Amino acid sequence: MTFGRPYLLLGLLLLPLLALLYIRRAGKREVAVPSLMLWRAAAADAVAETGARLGAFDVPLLFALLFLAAAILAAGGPVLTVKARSAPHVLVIVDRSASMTAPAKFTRTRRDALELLDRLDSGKVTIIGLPLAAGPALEELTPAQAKLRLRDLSPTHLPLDMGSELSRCAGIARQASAVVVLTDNPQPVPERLAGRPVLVISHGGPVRNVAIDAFEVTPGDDGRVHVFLAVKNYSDKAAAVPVAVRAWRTPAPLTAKTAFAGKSRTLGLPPGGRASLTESLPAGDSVGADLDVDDGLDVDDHAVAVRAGVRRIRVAYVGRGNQFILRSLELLPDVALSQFRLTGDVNAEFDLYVYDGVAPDKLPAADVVLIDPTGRVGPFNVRGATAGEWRRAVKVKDAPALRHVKADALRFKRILRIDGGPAAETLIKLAESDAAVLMRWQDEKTRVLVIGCSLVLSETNWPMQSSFPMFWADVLAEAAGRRSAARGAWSCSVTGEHIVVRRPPDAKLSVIGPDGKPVPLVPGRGARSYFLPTQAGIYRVSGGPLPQRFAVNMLHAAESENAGAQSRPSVALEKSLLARGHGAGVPLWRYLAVLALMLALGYWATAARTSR
Amino acid sequence: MGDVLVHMSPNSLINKDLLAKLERLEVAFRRAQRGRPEGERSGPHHGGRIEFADYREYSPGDDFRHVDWNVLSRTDDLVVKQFEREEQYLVYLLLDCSASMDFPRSGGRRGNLPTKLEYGAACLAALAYIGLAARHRVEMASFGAGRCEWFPVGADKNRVFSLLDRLSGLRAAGETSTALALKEAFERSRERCLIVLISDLFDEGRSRGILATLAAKGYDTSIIHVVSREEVEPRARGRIILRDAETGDAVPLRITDAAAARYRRALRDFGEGWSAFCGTHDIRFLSTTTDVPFEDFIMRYLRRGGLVR
Repeated sequence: MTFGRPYLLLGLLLLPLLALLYIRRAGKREVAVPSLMLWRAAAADAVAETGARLGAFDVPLLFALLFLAAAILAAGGPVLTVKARSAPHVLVIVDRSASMTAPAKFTRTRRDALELLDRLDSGKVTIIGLPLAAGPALEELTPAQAKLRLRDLSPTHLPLDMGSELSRCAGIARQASAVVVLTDNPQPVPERLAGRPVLVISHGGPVRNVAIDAFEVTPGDDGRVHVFLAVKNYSDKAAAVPVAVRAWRTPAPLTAKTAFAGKSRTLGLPPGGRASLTESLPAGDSVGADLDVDDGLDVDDHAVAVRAGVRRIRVAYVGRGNQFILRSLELLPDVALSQFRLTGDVNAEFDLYVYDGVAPDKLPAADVVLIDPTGRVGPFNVRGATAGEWRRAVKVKDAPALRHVKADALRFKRILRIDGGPAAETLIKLAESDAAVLMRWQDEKTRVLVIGCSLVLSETNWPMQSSFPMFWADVLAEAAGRRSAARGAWSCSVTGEHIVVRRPPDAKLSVIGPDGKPVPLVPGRGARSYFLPTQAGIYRVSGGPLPQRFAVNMLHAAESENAGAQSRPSVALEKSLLARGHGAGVPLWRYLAVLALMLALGYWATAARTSR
Repeated sequence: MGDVLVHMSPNSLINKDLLAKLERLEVAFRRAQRGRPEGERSGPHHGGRIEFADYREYSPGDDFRHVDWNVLSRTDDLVVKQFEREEQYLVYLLLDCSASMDFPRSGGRRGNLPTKLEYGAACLAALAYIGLAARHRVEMASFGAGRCEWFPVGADKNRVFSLLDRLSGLRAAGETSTALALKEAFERSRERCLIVLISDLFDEGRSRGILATLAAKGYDTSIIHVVSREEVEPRARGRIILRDAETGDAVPLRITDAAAARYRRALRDFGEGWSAFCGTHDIRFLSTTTDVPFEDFIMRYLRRGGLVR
């Protein structure tokens, strides 16, 4: 058994003194009685058994002494080493953070881990890469399997908070008999994790490192982009670093970039100091900055930003207010919804116009949805309506916006008779007549969907169908697809932060990262998915109607600092740690604390009874 | 509950409601006593109409209506007229005020229970009021620390307030002197009377002789034995020093459950010994603990014990 705080055990020496004081105090306790007459007669054989002599059995004293002993022992942090009955189970925790990408660091780490596994002839191995977001734990491996899996591991560009990540490993560590941590992180690693001994194999040393500290790109009103860049010197020597800032336009595929503007400057950096610059560049779709320096960490010498290709879609709703339509639009991501009562109130440029029960004098040059129009609008002319009887049989044309509409479930009452001309395409119509429920028409500037009935429950049950909000999602997606990608905002995030991907309904999207490998996106319940980038670079979403790109940088100062920091010295690998039969630690202090609590209750009960 | 008339911290045992109930009770005299006229209640001697019988000296508490002002103007002697028709008895109420009556001690685990002194004083007040309501002459004595202080209450029920004031000022102290109080009561009484002794009886049996004498001479004697709950069930355990509240003697003891059981047995024997003694000498013996509701004790236990009816 070992103790975490053995100096606290000195408190046990106080117990005899406390016992003596207790006995002296107990011997002097007086109780007044009305008369000793009866006591003398009754307890004659118990007279004169006090004084300094300890009674044969003093229950409160016994409880008090045991309580104090248990409390002091618990405070000492005892850990009982239990002899393992089976082969050792070693948990290998490998630091895969960005600082480990420094040359040879991860290679040496992996070599040490392999050497460790070589010495482990039997037993089980669990490998965890930190941060945990980098990948799942590899559990219950034989040493041979573990060596193979270790060779597949590579460092990421993720940041690492060693303390919190290790605490999250405690659950797995509890099942192991020993823990080995391979890291360059200078943060102290606890000597025990979940009671198991921890061996730290540390790599790293004083390496010169200069890193991009901040990188911001904002569009200017003059059509150019403005770049702010900060560079920090993490070494104790001054440095002069050439910095190149470039803007370029990227045709597909992404790898063929055409640089059309670039500037280079040299920044003087004092030891541990920072310098910054601003640049104004012609607007491309990508902006990057590079430090021309040969230092410990390469990934923090580059930064990039791209136009996201996605911005908020501006929607104008003109009408008296239909809650089904408004809620469907509001729930969709990246939608800026504006409501107007009359067509004359619409005073800005929108990507999608929804006219509900009203009709504009002139169709705008955008996507338009006309609901229950009146009179003549563009190529459409309303010529009356069908009888007001419920009809269930409709025909739905196979169109992207209608792929979720179930014809059997739709009910309509009064349908407008609309003449759309030869260019208009009927998407939904009544089966018994040619009355069009939904028509589409488009020219070079305008795309119009006409719904020939009022979207209220007294006229149709469509708003209650699940296809209704999906119809609006598709309408929005088509409207967004018509916009120029050049109007998107600049994207520049960091590794370890989830990026949000707009996902049209049922779209199977994948994300192509800097390594060129597509990673399928897990569909969520909403209209967006999340993706965690582990490498710095440009990511592109494929499979959807919208061009979406994201720039991810390793802008974590702690990792840049760790790359050049002196890590703690390595501890020699103890062979006994991996030997068969090495014990796992059982934290005894919890049991002792519970025991102390029970003894305190016992003391309280017996002492109260005695003092009454 | 009615207004509290006497405050004996922390318990207020006597109130107007209780006094109203007490007026319906009367003292049950067992022996034919030679009483004085003018009592309201019928005595063993049934007289005819009210007739002047005699004079006697005025004593505090006498009804001023019966002072003979003519005699006073002629002789300067304050005398009261005595009439013959109903008998007036003399009631001596003796209250033990020794230190042993100051239990349970305040500040401990006493709770709201009165001390034995407070309980006994309330008993005395209740009995006095019953007697005064029937116009019997009541005198009380508080004894302890080798002294016995007498207070002639009178024969008017309004005198009960003076009595209550005096009772409120009583303090328990010193050793008990039961025998002294009984001896003085015997000497003061010119005729046989009712004597009620309220005490915890921790006098080592020194009072038994005089009690036997009083009983033999035809005094109607009653004993109210007051015990506190902590005496009946002592809870102290372990090695402690027991100190006698009256004598100050200290005895170191290790009180175990067995010792406590032996004590309880000794206390039971003590009570049974007194009960047997009283039975032998035709003395009423009532025992109570301070946790018995006071009104129950007066209205039920005293009736059952034959002291009132």
